[in-house]
Amino acid sequence: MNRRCFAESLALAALAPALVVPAGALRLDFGRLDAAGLPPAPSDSAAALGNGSSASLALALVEIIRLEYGGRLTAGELAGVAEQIQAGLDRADLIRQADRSQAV
Amino acid sequence: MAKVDFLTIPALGRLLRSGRISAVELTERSLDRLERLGPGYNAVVRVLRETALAEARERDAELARGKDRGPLHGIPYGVKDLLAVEGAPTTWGASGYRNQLHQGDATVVRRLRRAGAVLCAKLAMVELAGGMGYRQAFASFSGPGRTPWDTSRWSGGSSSGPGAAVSAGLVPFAIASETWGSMQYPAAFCGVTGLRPTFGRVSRHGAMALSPTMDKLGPLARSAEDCGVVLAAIAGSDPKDPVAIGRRFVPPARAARRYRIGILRGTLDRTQPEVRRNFEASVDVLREIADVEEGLELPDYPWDAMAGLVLDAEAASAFEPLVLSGQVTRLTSPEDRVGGYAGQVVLARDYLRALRIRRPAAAALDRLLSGVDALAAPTLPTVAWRVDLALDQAYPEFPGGVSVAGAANLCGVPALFLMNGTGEAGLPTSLQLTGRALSEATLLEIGLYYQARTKFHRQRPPGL
Repeated sequence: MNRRCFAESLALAALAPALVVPAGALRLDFGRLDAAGLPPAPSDSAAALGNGSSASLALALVEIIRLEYGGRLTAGELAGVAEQIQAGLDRADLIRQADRSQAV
Repeated sequence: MAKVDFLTIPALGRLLRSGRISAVELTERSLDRLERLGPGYNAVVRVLRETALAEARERDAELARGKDRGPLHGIPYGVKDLLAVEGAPTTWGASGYRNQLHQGDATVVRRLRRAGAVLCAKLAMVELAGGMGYRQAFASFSGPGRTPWDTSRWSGGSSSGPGAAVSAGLVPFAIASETWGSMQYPAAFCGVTGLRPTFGRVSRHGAMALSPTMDKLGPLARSAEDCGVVLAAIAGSDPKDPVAIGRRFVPPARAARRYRIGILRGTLDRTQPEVRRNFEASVDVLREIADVEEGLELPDYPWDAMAGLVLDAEAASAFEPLVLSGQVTRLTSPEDRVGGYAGQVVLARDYLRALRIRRPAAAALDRLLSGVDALAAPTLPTVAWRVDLALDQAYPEFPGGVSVAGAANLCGVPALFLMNGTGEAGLPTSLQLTGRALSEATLLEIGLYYQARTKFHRQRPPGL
């Protein structure tokens, strides 16, 4: 993966919160990464992630982890990371709701 | 003399000052027990025999010439192995740090030496104080901590070694740490007394940082009285820890007045029957010195979510080098090997929002706590868990009810943990008292009364 490709990937991931698209559509093109020995984006990660509005963000964050550290993670481990990321975003949602109720 | 190994600090002090035992003899007893019994509990990382005996000889010489440093003079102790000690490796419970050396002593170690205590051992802990999200008792390079009450059961984490070492009479007291639960679990599972101080009461300089806005250091000991003595020695401001506060702490001598104790609605839900029974018996004892108000409501905040998110973000920062370098793959527990990655992508906006809401949440918690002297609850909903089961598989039918633990750790308020009987399989159960910030003396007053009335703190594990 060259620097430009990497930068584009990060930019797309950063845009994820603003992209009103189904989680599956956010799948980045990491074919060359796969060929380089990184684990594929876990096929079960979309299932592991919630269906809420944070799912696409979670998927983008998982891709960041895959890009950065994928060489040392198995697909199963990456799926576990995806679950943890989703759990963290769920916590953040709870806090956001509390923030809104405080503001009212 | 076997009884010596389970005496409280004041009782040991009387023996020392009367000349019936020397600091060297006391230290040798501790060292021998640490070496002989410690491995059976996976409680010890390193016994500091040479330096301990040198310190003990000096304490004896001081007493001989009339110099008495106070109640901890000549008293052996141990520290959780996340505290720096000059000349000894500080492992943080992780194999990758087995040879990690720090220059200088942690502030608590320095203060305890100044108070005359004799450091005998560095004690085992869950790797990285559990900051990677462990789910197994064996998540430590020194093996699963085992409670002296039944070595097939866990001693709790992350301060596994301090809990077991005090419980088995290896040392009279130990310094532990808590970010979220790391004193609570060992105190309950090992049947010892623990005092988690207010955030900032005790300097963390020289301690492994897990969550800089939630980390606390405090004592595990044989009694509330002992915890007060130790806290008095280690509390206070420290220019090396900017959050350490200068409020003086004076350990109380006895219960001094009538108290108000609150109980949260739902606190006994889904607890083991024996835990519930022992808690209700404890409350009956407390009614002798307190008016008890039941049915209080914990303010409506997502406490555990806030604590979890803050911890995730801060741990990710603390352990970033470990994750970046790939050394994280050398951790013992499989969950810990991958547990550091998710934290690397916690969003700043979410972390900052959690910090922002912590202020009104802490104010709401303080309003609740200001109406009572302490909230009483079972320390944990069950007795110690089997070491061979994943932590969430131990007692899935007893997850516990409404708990103040997440809120208390997030907001940095103190808690006292007291053994309050035995439950399933003769294992210890425990009572938790949580109070307002800086209310340690009040909690200890209540604890002093409770322990004088019940004597559960004097019970020893079978065979010891």
